[in-house]
Amino acid sequence: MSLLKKLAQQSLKKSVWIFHVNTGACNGCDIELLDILTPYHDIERFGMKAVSSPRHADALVISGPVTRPTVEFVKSVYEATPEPKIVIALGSCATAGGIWFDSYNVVGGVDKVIPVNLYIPGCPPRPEAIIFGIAQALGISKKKIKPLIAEQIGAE
Amino acid sequence: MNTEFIILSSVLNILIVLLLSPLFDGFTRKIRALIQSRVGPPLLQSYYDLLKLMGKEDLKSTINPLFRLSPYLSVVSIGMASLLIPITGLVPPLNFWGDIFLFIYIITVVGIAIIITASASENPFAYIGASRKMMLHLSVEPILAIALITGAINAGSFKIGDIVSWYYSNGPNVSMLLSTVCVFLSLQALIGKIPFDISEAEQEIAEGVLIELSGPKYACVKWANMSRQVLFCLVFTQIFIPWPLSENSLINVIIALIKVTAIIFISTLIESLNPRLRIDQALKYNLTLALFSLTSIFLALLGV
Repeated sequence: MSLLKKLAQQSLKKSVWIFHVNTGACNGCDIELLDILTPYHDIERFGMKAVSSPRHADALVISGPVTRPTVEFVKSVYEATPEPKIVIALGSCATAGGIWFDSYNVVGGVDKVIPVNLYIPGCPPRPEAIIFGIAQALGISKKKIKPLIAEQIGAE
Repeated sequence: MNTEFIILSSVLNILIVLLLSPLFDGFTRKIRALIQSRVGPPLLQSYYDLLKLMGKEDLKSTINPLFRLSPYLSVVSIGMASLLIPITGLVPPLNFWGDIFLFIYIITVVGIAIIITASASENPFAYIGASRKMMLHLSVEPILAIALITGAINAGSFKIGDIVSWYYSNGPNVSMLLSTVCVFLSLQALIGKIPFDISEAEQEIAEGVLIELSGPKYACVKWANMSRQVLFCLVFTQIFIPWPLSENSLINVIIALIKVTAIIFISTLIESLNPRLRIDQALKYNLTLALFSLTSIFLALLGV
């Protein structure tokens, strides 16, 4: 039984299925997300694919600031996704609210509603950035920035 | 018919139909990617998918016991049906009078299990998918049944082994050629690929019958679908094109695998170059083909 679980965990990295949730985005991030499915970027070579039901998904890609009408839907989509799952906030709005951070109709970033594992900022993020972000989350590629250390903030 | 042969060919049949089917699915996805000028997933991708789904959480959308059990029924019945096809020689491992009826029944159970799952899952998309799948099954199963009965009338026996032996030694006649063509034309509908994947239409009704399944259940239904593809290709290649054949059973297995790969390649070409049909168009196509294939029974009764 534990061998099957180990195999399942290893093959999770090789086949991540993405469910796309729009919580009120302007469609910019959505179009960039569709770009990674095109033959030019071809995300299927990593075994990723877009699925049409959250029950099949491993990763929830959420674009847009969470508006008040969509809060309940975001929560139910999160519950409908089977474990293990990762949540990816796509674009500036999903990361922290973007230019709508103090709008009356907007709750804020996705992390105000459900826990987020990965942030891909940008307005909109380039398709390369999305692929790089997901690859980082899966451990396919390494982080390119240095970790925040003392000398960077000038405190020796 | 000794025990050794039965055990060897049972193991080989189940191995080919159940364990090699994700490899054939990976081959399909690779070919489709190459046609769309993509790199495509690795060849073993479908194994990774199935293993991953096996380890996922099993969410229950309903407490209906049918929803819990019937996904596993589909895989089991595929395994059963694989024992009734001759791969290692002219006779299948389970060879008894009337096995063509058993074969048709078991093949139908695979579809019925998925329909029951979808109907029990309490999702409107799944209901649409289930009703479409039922219509498709009812219209396409008669073609295979008529073709097998044509063979039975020609061979004068209700054993799959006898039909294949007769066909291998006597060669094709008009009625068998007609039913072979009909089975080939309905193959895409039998394995549920793109012109006929109306019940699982991903863009249209969000994978229809499969929408509420998650984790191991989804893995089982996906596995059953992949295996069904290999199984129907084997039915076509082993029963309706039994040539060439050698004395050695392992060489026969290799020949069967080459033939199945060729058929899957053709069906992938059809899949990636065609749009999806509407349910009424698919019904019209299947029923026309079924009526047309009825002539093969009359021809067989006339003895040509």
